Amino acid sequence: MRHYLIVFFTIVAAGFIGMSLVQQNAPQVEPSYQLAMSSNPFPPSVGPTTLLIALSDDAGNPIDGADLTIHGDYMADGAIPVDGYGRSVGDGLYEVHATWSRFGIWLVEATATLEDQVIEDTFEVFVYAVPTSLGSKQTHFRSIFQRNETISVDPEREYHVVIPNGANELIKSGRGNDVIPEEIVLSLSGKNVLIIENNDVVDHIVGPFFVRSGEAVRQEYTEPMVYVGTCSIRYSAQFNIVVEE
Amino acid sequence: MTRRYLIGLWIVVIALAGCASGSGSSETASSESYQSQLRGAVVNPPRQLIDFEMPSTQGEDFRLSDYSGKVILLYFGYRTCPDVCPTTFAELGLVYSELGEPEDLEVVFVSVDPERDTMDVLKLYTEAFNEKFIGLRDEGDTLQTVMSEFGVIATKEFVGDSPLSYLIDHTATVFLIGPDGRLQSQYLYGTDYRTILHDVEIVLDAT
Repeated sequence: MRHYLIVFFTIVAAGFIGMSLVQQNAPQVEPSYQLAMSSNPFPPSVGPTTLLIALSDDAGNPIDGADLTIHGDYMADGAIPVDGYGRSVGDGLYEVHATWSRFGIWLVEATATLEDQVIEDTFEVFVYAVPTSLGSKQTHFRSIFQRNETISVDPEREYHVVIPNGANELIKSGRGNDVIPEEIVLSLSGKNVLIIENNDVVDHIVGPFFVRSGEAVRQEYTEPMVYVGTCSIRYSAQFNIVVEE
Repeated sequence: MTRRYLIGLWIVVIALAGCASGSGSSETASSESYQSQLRGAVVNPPRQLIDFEMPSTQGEDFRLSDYSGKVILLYFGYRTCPDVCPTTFAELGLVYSELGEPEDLEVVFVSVDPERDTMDVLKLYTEAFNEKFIGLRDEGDTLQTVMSEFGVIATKEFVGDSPLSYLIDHTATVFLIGPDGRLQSQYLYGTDYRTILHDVEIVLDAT
Protein backbone atom coordinates (compact mmCIF):
# COMPACT_ATOMS: atom_id res chain seq x y z
CA MET A 1 0.00 0.00 0.00
CA ARG A 2 2.74 2.39 0.95
CA HIS A 3 4.53 1.54 -2.24
CA TYR A 4 1.49 2.44 -4.33
CA LEU A 5 1.10 5.73 -2.51
CA ILE A 6 4.69 6.69 -3.23
CA VAL A 7 4.23 5.89 -6.92
CA PHE A 8 0.97 7.85 -7.06
CA PHE A 9 2.38 11.02 -5.50
CA THR A 10 5.52 10.76 -7.59
CA ILE A 11 3.35 10.84 -10.69
CA VAL A 12 1.42 13.82 -9.35
CA ALA A 13 4.60 15.69 -8.52
CA ALA A 14 6.00 14.97 -11.97
CA GLY A 15 2.85 16.38 -13.47
CA PHE A 16 3.20 19.69 -11.66
CA ILE A 17 6.86 19.95 -12.57
CA GLY A 18 5.97 19.30 -16.22
CA MET A 19 3.31 22.01 -16.20
CA SER A 20 5.79 24.43 -14.75
CA LEU A 21 8.29 23.67 -17.51
CA VAL A 22 5.65 24.13 -20.19
CA GLN A 23 4.79 27.57 -18.83
CA GLN A 24 8.45 28.57 -18.75
CA ASN A 25 8.97 27.51 -22.37
CA ALA A 26 5.80 29.20 -23.63
CA PRO A 27 6.42 31.95 -26.21
CA GLN A 28 7.23 35.22 -24.42
CA VAL A 29 4.90 38.08 -25.31
CA GLU A 30 6.85 41.23 -26.09
CA PRO A 31 6.00 43.93 -23.56
CA SER A 32 4.31 47.03 -24.91
CA TYR A 33 4.62 50.58 -23.64
CA GLN A 34 2.83 53.85 -23.94
CA LEU A 35 3.65 57.50 -23.76
CA ALA A 36 1.60 60.29 -22.25
CA MET A 37 2.36 63.98 -22.54
CA SER A 38 1.43 66.98 -20.48
CA SER A 39 3.10 70.30 -19.79
CA ASN A 40 3.80 72.83 -17.10
CA PRO A 41 1.98 75.11 -17.44
CA PHE A 42 -0.99 73.31 -19.04
CA PRO A 43 -2.11 74.31 -21.55
CA PRO A 44 1.05 75.98 -22.81
CA SER A 45 1.28 79.45 -24.25
CA VAL A 46 3.84 81.12 -26.50
CA GLY A 47 7.27 81.12 -24.86
CA PRO A 48 9.08 78.59 -22.69
CA THR A 49 7.30 75.49 -21.37
CA THR A 50 8.33 72.26 -19.71
CA LEU A 51 6.89 69.22 -21.44
CA LEU A 52 6.25 66.30 -19.12
CA ILE A 53 6.36 62.88 -20.75
CA ALA A 54 5.41 59.70 -18.92
CA LEU A 55 6.58 56.29 -20.12
CA SER A 56 4.85 53.23 -18.75
CA ASP A 57 4.07 49.66 -19.63
CA ASP A 58 0.65 48.18 -20.23
CA ALA A 59 0.25 47.51 -16.53
CA GLY A 60 0.90 51.17 -15.77
CA ASN A 61 4.34 50.57 -14.28
CA PRO A 62 6.64 53.58 -14.84
CA ILE A 63 9.70 52.95 -17.00
CA ASP A 64 12.91 54.84 -16.27
CA GLY A 65 16.17 54.81 -18.17
CA ALA A 66 14.90 55.56 -21.67
CA ASP A 67 16.56 57.98 -24.07
CA LEU A 68 13.76 60.41 -24.81
CA THR A 69 13.55 63.07 -27.48
CA ILE A 70 10.79 65.26 -28.90
CA HIS A 71 10.31 66.93 -32.24
CA GLY A 72 7.52 69.46 -32.78
CA ASP A 73 6.28 70.83 -36.09
CA TYR A 74 3.90 73.76 -36.48
CA MET A 75 0.76 73.10 -38.53
CA ALA A 76 1.68 75.73 -41.09
CA ASP A 77 4.86 76.87 -42.81
CA GLY A 78 7.21 79.40 -41.37
CA ALA A 79 7.94 78.21 -37.85
CA ILE A 80 11.21 76.68 -36.69
CA PRO A 81 10.59 73.16 -35.36
CA VAL A 82 10.92 72.49 -31.65
CA ASP A 83 13.42 69.84 -30.62
CA GLY A 84 14.45 68.68 -27.18
CA TYR A 85 16.01 65.93 -25.08
CA GLY A 86 14.31 64.45 -22.06
CA ARG A 87 15.76 64.54 -18.58
CA SER A 88 14.65 61.69 -16.39
CA VAL A 89 13.13 62.85 -13.11
CA GLY A 90 12.15 59.40 -11.91
CA ASP A 91 8.88 57.52 -11.69
CA GLY A 92 8.80 57.15 -15.46
CA LEU A 93 8.69 60.91 -15.98
CA TYR A 94 10.88 62.91 -18.34
CA GLU A 95 11.13 66.68 -18.62
CA VAL A 96 11.80 68.47 -21.88
CA HIS A 97 12.22 72.23 -22.09
CA ALA A 98 10.61 73.71 -25.17
CA THR A 99 10.06 77.22 -26.43
CA TRP A 100 7.00 77.81 -28.58
CA SER A 101 7.37 80.53 -31.18
CA ARG A 102 3.84 80.53 -32.60
CA PHE A 103 0.29 80.36 -31.31
CA GLY A 104 -1.72 77.48 -32.75
CA ILE A 105 -1.53 73.76 -33.32
CA TRP A 106 1.76 71.90 -33.09
CA LEU A 107 2.30 68.19 -33.67
CA VAL A 108 4.87 66.89 -31.22
CA GLU A 109 6.44 63.48 -31.75
CA ALA A 110 7.93 61.86 -28.67
CA THR A 111 10.45 59.03 -29.09
CA ALA A 112 11.59 56.85 -26.20
CA THR A 113 14.43 54.42 -26.89
CA LEU A 114 14.91 51.42 -24.63
CA GLU A 115 17.46 48.65 -25.02
CA ASP A 116 15.22 46.50 -27.16
CA GLN A 117 12.45 48.80 -28.29
CA VAL A 118 11.66 52.22 -29.64
CA ILE A 119 8.35 53.73 -28.56
CA GLU A 120 6.88 56.61 -30.52
CA ASP A 121 3.73 58.67 -30.33
CA THR A 122 2.59 62.00 -31.73
CA PHE A 123 0.55 64.48 -29.75
CA GLU A 124 -1.55 67.43 -30.77
CA VAL A 125 -0.42 70.43 -28.74
CA PHE A 126 -2.32 73.70 -28.88
CA VAL A 127 -0.20 76.66 -27.86
CA TYR A 128 -2.15 79.66 -26.67
CA ALA A 129 -1.12 83.21 -27.52
CA VAL A 130 -1.37 84.17 -23.86
CA PRO A 131 -2.14 82.00 -20.84
CA THR A 132 -5.80 81.12 -21.07
CA SER A 133 -8.06 82.57 -18.41
CA LEU A 134 -10.70 79.91 -18.91
CA GLY A 135 -8.81 77.26 -17.04
CA SER A 136 -8.66 73.74 -18.39
CA LYS A 137 -10.74 70.66 -17.93
CA GLN A 138 -8.04 68.64 -19.64
CA THR A 139 -4.71 67.66 -18.14
CA HIS A 140 -2.92 65.91 -21.00
CA PHE A 141 -2.36 66.26 -24.71
CA ARG A 142 -4.09 63.82 -26.97
CA SER A 143 -2.28 61.40 -29.22
CA ILE A 144 -3.28 61.85 -32.86
CA PHE A 145 -3.72 58.08 -33.04
CA GLN A 146 -6.11 57.97 -30.15
CA ARG A 147 -9.74 57.54 -31.00
CA ASN A 148 -12.55 57.32 -28.55
CA GLU A 149 -12.67 53.55 -28.93
CA THR A 150 -15.05 53.05 -26.08
CA ILE A 151 -17.81 54.87 -27.92
CA SER A 152 -17.02 53.52 -31.37
CA VAL A 153 -19.16 50.51 -32.20
CA ASP A 154 -19.02 50.20 -35.98
CA PRO A 155 -16.40 52.51 -37.56
CA GLU A 156 -17.74 51.80 -41.05
CA ARG A 157 -20.95 53.59 -40.15
CA GLU A 158 -19.53 56.39 -38.03
CA TYR A 159 -18.80 60.00 -38.91
CA HIS A 160 -16.37 61.53 -36.43
CA VAL A 161 -16.27 65.23 -35.66
CA VAL A 162 -13.35 66.11 -33.42
CA ILE A 163 -13.25 69.47 -31.71
CA PRO A 164 -9.53 69.98 -31.24
CA ASN A 165 -7.70 71.29 -28.25
CA GLY A 166 -7.59 75.05 -28.65
CA ALA A 167 -10.81 75.32 -30.64
CA ASN A 168 -12.08 78.08 -28.37
CA GLU A 169 -8.97 80.16 -29.06
CA LEU A 170 -9.36 79.60 -32.79
CA ILE A 171 -12.93 80.84 -32.50
CA LYS A 172 -11.79 84.01 -30.74
CA SER A 173 -9.26 84.62 -33.48
CA GLY A 174 -11.97 84.27 -36.11
CA ARG A 175 -10.95 80.83 -37.31
CA GLY A 176 -13.84 78.84 -35.87
CA ASN A 177 -15.00 77.87 -39.36
CA ASP A 178 -11.77 75.88 -39.75
CA VAL A 179 -12.67 73.69 -36.83
CA ILE A 180 -15.79 71.89 -37.94
CA PRO A 181 -17.97 72.00 -41.06
CA GLU A 182 -21.25 73.87 -41.15
CA GLU A 183 -23.15 70.86 -42.39
CA ILE A 184 -22.75 67.14 -42.00
CA VAL A 185 -24.58 64.78 -44.31
CA LEU A 186 -25.23 61.27 -43.11
CA SER A 187 -26.92 58.42 -44.94
CA LEU A 188 -29.11 55.62 -43.62
CA SER A 189 -27.56 53.36 -46.24
CA GLY A 190 -24.01 54.30 -45.29
CA LYS A 191 -22.68 56.34 -42.39
CA ASN A 192 -25.63 56.98 -40.10
CA VAL A 193 -23.84 57.47 -36.81
CA LEU A 194 -22.49 60.81 -35.68
CA ILE A 195 -19.76 60.95 -33.04
CA ILE A 196 -18.68 64.30 -31.68
CA GLU A 197 -15.53 64.36 -29.56
CA ASN A 198 -14.57 67.45 -27.63
CA ASN A 199 -10.84 67.64 -26.97
CA ASP A 200 -10.89 71.33 -26.15
CA VAL A 201 -10.34 72.61 -22.65
CA VAL A 202 -13.86 74.09 -22.53
CA ASP A 203 -17.38 72.79 -23.15
CA HIS A 204 -19.04 73.29 -26.54
CA ILE A 205 -22.48 73.23 -28.12
CA VAL A 206 -22.59 71.52 -31.48
CA GLY A 207 -26.06 71.59 -32.93
CA PRO A 208 -28.36 69.80 -30.49
CA PHE A 209 -25.52 68.43 -28.43
CA PHE A 210 -23.83 69.93 -25.41
CA VAL A 211 -20.47 68.20 -25.28
CA ARG A 212 -18.31 68.69 -22.25
CA SER A 213 -14.56 69.02 -22.43
CA GLY A 214 -13.15 65.51 -22.67
CA GLU A 215 -16.50 63.97 -23.57
CA ALA A 216 -17.82 62.32 -26.70
CA VAL A 217 -21.42 61.96 -27.83
CA ARG A 218 -22.59 59.20 -30.14
CA GLN A 219 -25.95 59.39 -31.93
CA GLU A 220 -27.26 56.81 -34.35
CA TYR A 221 -29.90 58.05 -36.79
CA THR A 222 -32.59 55.69 -38.03
CA GLU A 223 -34.86 58.11 -39.91
CA PRO A 224 -34.27 60.79 -42.52
CA MET A 225 -34.18 64.24 -40.99
CA VAL A 226 -32.74 67.71 -41.24
CA TYR A 227 -31.59 69.46 -38.13
CA VAL A 228 -30.66 73.13 -38.20
CA GLY A 229 -29.08 74.15 -34.92
CA THR A 230 -26.73 76.43 -33.13
CA CYS A 231 -23.03 76.00 -32.66
CA SER A 232 -20.61 77.63 -30.25
CA ILE A 233 -17.72 77.10 -32.66
CA ARG A 234 -18.57 78.35 -36.13
CA TYR A 235 -18.68 82.06 -36.85
CA SER A 236 -22.14 81.64 -38.33
CA ALA A 237 -23.19 79.96 -35.08
CA GLN A 238 -24.95 77.37 -37.18
CA PHE A 239 -24.49 73.64 -37.50
CA ASN A 240 -26.70 71.42 -39.65
CA ILE A 241 -27.18 67.68 -39.60
CA VAL A 242 -28.77 66.13 -42.66
CA VAL A 243 -29.69 62.46 -42.66
CA GLU A 244 -30.59 61.08 -46.08
CA GLU A 245 -32.14 57.77 -47.08
CA MET B 1 1.03 6.96 10.91
CA THR B 2 0.05 5.85 7.42
CA ARG B 3 -3.33 7.60 7.67
CA ARG B 4 -1.80 10.92 8.80
CA TYR B 5 0.77 10.58 6.10
CA LEU B 6 -1.98 10.15 3.51
CA ILE B 7 -3.98 13.12 4.74
CA GLY B 8 -0.90 15.34 4.70
CA LEU B 9 -0.03 14.35 1.17
CA TRP B 10 -3.57 14.97 -0.08
CA ILE B 11 -3.51 18.42 1.46
CA VAL B 12 -0.27 19.14 -0.44
CA VAL B 13 -1.74 17.82 -3.69
CA ILE B 14 -4.89 19.87 -3.36
CA ALA B 15 -2.89 22.99 -2.52
CA LEU B 16 -0.65 22.49 -5.55
CA ALA B 17 -3.66 21.89 -7.76
CA GLY B 18 -5.08 25.16 -6.64
CA CYS B 19 -1.86 27.01 -7.48
CA ALA B 20 -1.44 25.33 -10.88
CA SER B 21 -4.94 26.03 -12.06
CA GLY B 22 -4.28 29.76 -11.79
CA SER B 23 -6.80 32.35 -10.88
CA GLY B 24 -9.82 32.73 -13.10
CA SER B 25 -10.78 36.17 -14.21
CA SER B 26 -13.91 37.50 -12.66
CA GLU B 27 -15.80 39.78 -14.94
CA THR B 28 -17.70 42.56 -13.33
CA ALA B 29 -20.19 44.45 -15.41
CA SER B 30 -19.60 48.18 -15.61
CA SER B 31 -22.17 50.83 -16.46
CA GLU B 32 -20.37 51.38 -19.76
CA SER B 33 -20.81 47.72 -20.73
CA TYR B 34 -24.34 48.42 -21.99
CA GLN B 35 -23.63 51.78 -23.59
CA SER B 36 -23.03 50.21 -26.99
CA GLN B 37 -26.61 48.92 -26.91
CA LEU B 38 -28.25 52.27 -26.22
CA ARG B 39 -29.97 54.05 -29.09
CA GLY B 40 -30.03 57.56 -27.69
CA ALA B 41 -27.22 60.08 -27.89
CA VAL B 42 -24.77 58.21 -25.70
CA VAL B 43 -22.38 60.22 -23.58
CA ASN B 44 -18.89 58.87 -23.15
CA PRO B 45 -17.57 58.72 -20.59
CA PRO B 46 -20.86 58.85 -18.69
CA ARG B 47 -20.96 62.34 -17.23
CA GLN B 48 -20.44 62.54 -13.50
CA LEU B 49 -23.06 64.98 -12.24
CA ILE B 50 -22.97 67.22 -9.22
CA ASP B 51 -25.09 65.96 -6.33
CA PHE B 52 -27.70 68.67 -6.72
CA GLU B 53 -30.57 69.25 -4.33
CA MET B 54 -33.84 71.03 -5.13
CA PRO B 55 -37.27 71.34 -3.49
CA SER B 56 -39.69 68.83 -4.95
CA THR B 57 -43.40 68.21 -5.27
CA GLN B 58 -42.95 65.16 -3.07
CA GLY B 59 -42.60 67.37 0.01
CA GLU B 60 -38.99 66.50 0.78
CA ASP B 61 -36.10 67.97 -1.16
CA PHE B 62 -34.87 65.92 -4.10
CA ARG B 63 -31.19 65.06 -3.81
CA LEU B 64 -29.61 63.13 -6.68
CA SER B 65 -27.57 60.84 -4.45
CA ASP B 66 -30.72 59.76 -2.63
CA TYR B 67 -31.75 58.03 -5.86
CA SER B 68 -28.58 56.04 -6.24
CA GLY B 69 -29.46 52.65 -7.69
CA LYS B 70 -32.39 54.05 -9.65
CA VAL B 71 -32.71 55.15 -13.26
CA ILE B 72 -33.88 58.73 -13.74
CA LEU B 73 -35.45 60.31 -16.81
CA LEU B 74 -34.92 64.03 -16.36
CA TYR B 75 -36.59 66.76 -18.36
CA PHE B 76 -36.53 70.56 -18.21
CA GLY B 77 -39.64 72.53 -19.11
CA TYR B 78 -42.44 74.68 -17.76
CA ARG B 79 -46.11 74.28 -17.04
CA THR B 80 -47.51 76.72 -19.60
CA CYS B 81 -45.37 75.31 -22.40
CA PRO B 82 -47.90 74.99 -25.26
CA ASP B 83 -46.73 71.88 -27.04
CA VAL B 84 -43.21 70.55 -26.49
CA CYS B 85 -43.49 69.83 -22.77
CA PRO B 86 -46.90 68.15 -22.71
CA THR B 87 -46.05 65.93 -25.66
CA THR B 88 -42.73 64.97 -24.11
CA PHE B 89 -44.39 64.31 -20.77
CA ALA B 90 -47.01 62.18 -22.46
CA GLU B 91 -44.31 60.09 -24.10
CA LEU B 92 -42.48 59.68 -20.81
CA GLY B 93 -45.78 58.54 -19.38
CA LEU B 94 -45.97 55.88 -22.07
CA VAL B 95 -42.44 54.73 -21.28
CA TYR B 96 -43.28 54.53 -17.59
CA SER B 97 -46.55 52.66 -18.03
CA GLU B 98 -45.30 50.21 -20.67
CA LEU B 99 -42.45 49.25 -18.36
CA GLY B 100 -45.00 48.54 -15.65
CA GLU B 101 -44.20 51.60 -13.52
CA PRO B 102 -41.01 50.06 -12.11
CA GLU B 103 -39.89 51.22 -8.70
CA ASP B 104 -36.35 51.65 -9.99
CA LEU B 105 -37.40 54.29 -12.51
CA GLU B 106 -38.11 57.92 -11.67
CA VAL B 107 -39.41 60.61 -14.03
CA VAL B 108 -38.30 64.04 -12.90
CA PHE B 109 -39.40 67.39 -14.31
CA VAL B 110 -37.41 70.53 -13.58
CA SER B 111 -39.24 73.81 -14.05
CA VAL B 112 -37.33 76.50 -15.92
CA ASP B 113 -40.07 79.00 -15.05
CA PRO B 114 -40.03 79.27 -11.25
CA GLU B 115 -41.68 82.68 -11.52
CA ARG B 116 -45.00 81.22 -12.64
CA ASP B 117 -44.59 77.57 -11.66
CA THR B 118 -45.24 77.65 -7.94
CA MET B 119 -44.83 74.37 -6.12
CA ASP B 120 -48.60 73.85 -5.91
CA VAL B 121 -49.26 74.28 -9.61
CA LEU B 122 -46.17 72.26 -10.45
CA LYS B 123 -47.43 69.39 -8.34
CA LEU B 124 -50.81 69.49 -10.10
CA TYR B 125 -49.10 69.55 -13.48
CA THR B 126 -46.66 66.69 -12.97
CA GLU B 127 -49.08 64.44 -11.16
CA ALA B 128 -51.67 64.94 -13.90
CA PHE B 129 -49.40 62.83 -16.11
CA ASN B 130 -48.60 60.34 -13.36
CA GLU B 131 -48.89 60.74 -9.62
CA LYS B 132 -45.42 59.26 -9.19
CA PHE B 133 -43.72 61.85 -11.40
CA ILE B 134 -41.58 64.32 -9.50
CA GLY B 135 -41.47 68.06 -10.10
CA LEU B 136 -38.51 70.19 -9.01
CA ARG B 137 -38.52 73.92 -8.56
CA ASP B 138 -35.83 76.32 -7.49
CA GLU B 139 -34.91 79.90 -8.15
CA GLY B 140 -31.60 81.55 -8.84
CA ASP B 141 -28.21 79.91 -8.66
CA THR B 142 -29.24 76.32 -8.01
CA LEU B 143 -31.45 76.13 -11.06
CA GLN B 144 -28.78 77.72 -13.25
CA THR B 145 -26.14 75.35 -11.88
CA VAL B 146 -28.26 72.30 -12.61
CA MET B 147 -29.11 73.57 -16.08
CA SER B 148 -25.41 74.10 -16.78
CA GLU B 149 -24.69 70.52 -15.79
CA PHE B 150 -26.86 69.38 -18.66
CA GLY B 151 -26.13 72.18 -21.09
CA VAL B 152 -29.76 73.31 -20.90
CA ILE B 153 -30.65 76.76 -22.16
CA ALA B 154 -33.88 78.60 -21.41
CA THR B 155 -34.69 82.10 -22.62
CA LYS B 156 -37.84 84.17 -22.25
CA GLU B 157 -39.68 85.36 -25.35
CA PHE B 158 -42.19 88.07 -24.47
CA VAL B 159 -45.38 87.85 -26.49
CA GLY B 160 -47.49 90.57 -24.94
CA ASP B 161 -47.42 93.72 -22.91
CA SER B 162 -47.74 92.02 -19.53
CA PRO B 163 -44.47 91.05 -17.84
CA LEU B 164 -45.90 87.57 -17.37
CA SER B 165 -46.87 87.16 -21.03
CA TYR B 166 -43.95 85.18 -22.23
CA LEU B 167 -43.00 81.84 -23.59
CA ILE B 168 -39.70 80.13 -22.85
CA ASP B 169 -37.49 78.70 -25.55
CA HIS B 170 -35.75 75.84 -23.83
CA THR B 171 -33.71 72.74 -24.47
CA ALA B 172 -36.21 69.94 -24.87
CA THR B 173 -33.89 66.98 -24.39
CA VAL B 174 -34.73 64.08 -22.10
CA PHE B 175 -31.73 62.94 -20.04
CA LEU B 176 -31.19 59.38 -18.85
CA ILE B 177 -29.26 59.20 -15.59
CA GLY B 178 -28.00 55.77 -14.67
CA PRO B 179 -28.13 54.12 -11.25
CA ASP B 180 -24.60 55.35 -10.62
CA GLY B 181 -25.77 58.96 -10.86
CA ARG B 182 -24.02 59.60 -14.16
CA LEU B 183 -25.56 60.87 -17.37
CA GLN B 184 -25.65 57.91 -19.76
CA SER B 185 -27.70 59.06 -22.71
CA GLN B 186 -29.95 61.83 -23.97
CA TYR B 187 -32.93 62.01 -26.32
CA LEU B 188 -33.61 64.99 -28.51
CA TYR B 189 -37.13 66.29 -28.90
CA GLY B 190 -38.97 64.15 -31.39
CA THR B 191 -37.25 60.90 -30.44
CA ASP B 192 -39.72 58.04 -30.61
CA TYR B 193 -40.70 57.01 -27.09
CA ARG B 194 -39.88 53.41 -27.98
CA THR B 195 -36.24 54.41 -28.30
CA ILE B 196 -36.29 55.77 -24.76
CA LEU B 197 -38.16 52.70 -23.56
CA HIS B 198 -35.61 50.41 -25.20
CA ASP B 199 -32.71 52.15 -23.49
CA VAL B 200 -34.35 52.40 -20.08
CA GLU B 201 -35.09 48.69 -20.22
CA ILE B 202 -31.45 47.90 -20.93
CA VAL B 203 -30.21 50.05 -18.08
CA LEU B 204 -32.79 48.64 -15.67
CA ASP B 205 -31.83 45.10 -16.61
CA ALA B 206 -28.19 45.87 -15.98
CA THR B 207 -28.77 47.11 -12.44
